[in-house]
Amino acid sequence: MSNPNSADVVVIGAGVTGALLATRLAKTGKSVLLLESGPRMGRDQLVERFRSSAFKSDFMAPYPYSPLAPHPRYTPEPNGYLQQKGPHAFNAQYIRMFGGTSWHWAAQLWRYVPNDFRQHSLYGVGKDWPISYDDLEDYYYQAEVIAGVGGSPESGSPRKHPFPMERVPASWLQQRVTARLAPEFTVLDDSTGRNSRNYDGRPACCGNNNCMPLCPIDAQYHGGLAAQQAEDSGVQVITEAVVYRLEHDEKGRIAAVHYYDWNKVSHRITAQTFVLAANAIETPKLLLMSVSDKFPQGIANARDNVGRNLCDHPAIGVTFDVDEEIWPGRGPVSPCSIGQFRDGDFRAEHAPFRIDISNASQVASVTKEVLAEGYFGKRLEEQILFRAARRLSIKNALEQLPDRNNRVTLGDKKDELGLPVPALYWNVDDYVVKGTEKTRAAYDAIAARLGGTNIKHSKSGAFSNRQHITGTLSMGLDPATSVTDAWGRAHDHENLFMVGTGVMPTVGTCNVTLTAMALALRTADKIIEESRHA
Amino acid sequence: MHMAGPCRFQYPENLLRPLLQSSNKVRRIPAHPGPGATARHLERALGAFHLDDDMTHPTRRRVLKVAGLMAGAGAAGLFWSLPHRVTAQNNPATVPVDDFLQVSRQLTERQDLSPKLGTALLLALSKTEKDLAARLQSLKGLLQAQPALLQAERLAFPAEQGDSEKLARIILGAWYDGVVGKGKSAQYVTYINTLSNGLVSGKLVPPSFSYGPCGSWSRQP
Repeated sequence: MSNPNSADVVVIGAGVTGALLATRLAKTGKSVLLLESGPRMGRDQLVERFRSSAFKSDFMAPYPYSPLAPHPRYTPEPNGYLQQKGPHAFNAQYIRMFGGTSWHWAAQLWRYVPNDFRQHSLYGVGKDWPISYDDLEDYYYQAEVIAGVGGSPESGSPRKHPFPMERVPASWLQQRVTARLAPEFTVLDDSTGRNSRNYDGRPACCGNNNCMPLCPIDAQYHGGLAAQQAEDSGVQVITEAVVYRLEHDEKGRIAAVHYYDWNKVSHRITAQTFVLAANAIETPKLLLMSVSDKFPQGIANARDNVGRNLCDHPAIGVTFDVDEEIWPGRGPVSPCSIGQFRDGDFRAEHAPFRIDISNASQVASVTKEVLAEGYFGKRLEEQILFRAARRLSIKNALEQLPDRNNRVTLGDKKDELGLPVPALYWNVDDYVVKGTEKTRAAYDAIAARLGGTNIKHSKSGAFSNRQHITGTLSMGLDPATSVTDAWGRAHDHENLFMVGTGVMPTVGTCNVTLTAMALALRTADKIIEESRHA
Repeated sequence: MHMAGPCRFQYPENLLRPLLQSSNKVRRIPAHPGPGATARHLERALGAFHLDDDMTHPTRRRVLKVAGLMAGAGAAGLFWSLPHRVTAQNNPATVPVDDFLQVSRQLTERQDLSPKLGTALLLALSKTEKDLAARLQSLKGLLQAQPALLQAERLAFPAEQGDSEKLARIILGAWYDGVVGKGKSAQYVTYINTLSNGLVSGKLVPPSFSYGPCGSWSRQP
């Protein structure tokens, strides 16, 4: 079948949010074209690539890479795709391929807590959202049903309906940590799209302990499933289609998109409605590239808001050896966390945070550690066994406030298609620093309760990324301070919508994909409603 | 530990399954290599490991080609008969497998090292380590001359023997980590057959292989 040159709706980006939106629109009978810059690759092939990789701790390593649709890579050595301009490197990871970045994740599908949506009103910091938790509750549940989410009902996010999935049984590690940290710390099941029983044609988890970078059996939901469902629902998909320009008419409506195939042949596609779902870094890049006489700063950027307010969870971590054998590596990699610091009046003073407790196998990392210490022979094996049985790894999801200076711009380097690479400026403020100090104190208290030895905090003053990239397409009521409206529509372009984590004004204290999925479903319903009235 | 379940070890380890294991269960590599085939067969098979994921230069065809070679060679028994000497890439001198295994046994304090895996590791090391043959001979000689070096708790060779200590650490890393070399030179050799994965096999399975039915991990290990 030849590729079309028009559709009712063109969606750019075949990640989980674009795919969910495309599916919903296609089911109403619309012709939907989904353009993906990257390639296709199936799960089985990805599993083989993981197992034969020399860089198993790099979650990006199994995924295909092309300089024609580049993304950040860090092994065998950093590819420098992201130009770092700020005091802290924003080492983003995202995947340009059919299914997008949620191929590699731990299927953490959390709701925000209600007060996250009223941050400025309640605590005088950050931003309020243009919508409330209640506006999103039904969509949260729809997304949870699609993904098969289970978790603790005591997460602080009220529910009208119970989770659609029963909890995955707790590992021995989780049981011991939960018991020994109580009552000072309350450890709860994470909210995850992980099957504890057969669901939607996928099997129950059988403890492959490889949720990141890849579940080998699809026991957890991911964007590859969503993208395939879109295609199965009638969405036409074109992969290796790198959109490089949005074209507008004299009224400012988007008239067409232009993309290069991987032979650098340019194509033009027209549509009634356009949806950008190309992630919180690549979507701003596309908007900033789409300059014209009428919009010299780029599409949707008349007020210089595109790409600003770049947020993630600036994370610190700690590892230590517990005084009993807990054996991380049995069951899912990220099963539980401590949520008692997610909300409270303290948010006026310092960042809230959640503490994630890892259950990932530590064998590979402690082996490297012990080898580096020069052990050999029987003592080497004693040390591996001792540490692999006891090593606990913890990190946080700490809220960073939106800051206009943190942003995505166009870099001065070009990729192989001649398109500019993203440039990033990222810094952290005292709000983060104070919250980080609280986190570190909590880490020490946790280590003490677990009899921790060999305690190693991450480097002071350094922050790692959690890949919860938000803010760059921020929705809001005021066009002077936001890119999109409460439905994800560009303020100045009536038929241009954006979905994905970039439209989220704040990053909260949880993984952000479920909220982005809920917002995408809501945007889809808005497009459907308007087209009916049209 | 009971870990039986319907989905245990669903996937073969890698394209070298014909070489490293004969079923989809995690198995130790057979202990005795046979006489006969040349290093070139194995070296060509090792080429299938190289993870070249640049999509503009697809390697799938090459990988399939090599896999086909391996399947055919495996059927012919070639991979069960391994070389006794390996020709290092950067050095015309050959490296006796027995010497490598002897040094490896001293460093690991294990007598049950697989000669097949040892040969595969040696081939990989021959690509990443310059002057491997001479350096291995130096290390072997040092350990024979100064056995007290391996009486210490950790490797701490005299400064003038720094290169031998470095090679000792590299050899240990190969056996326990299954990867040799760094950065662009890194070569994956084995995963499930690393000594570290074997060491914990009574408690864990290597990540990406199934542990057991949902919830089986709730029991105390």
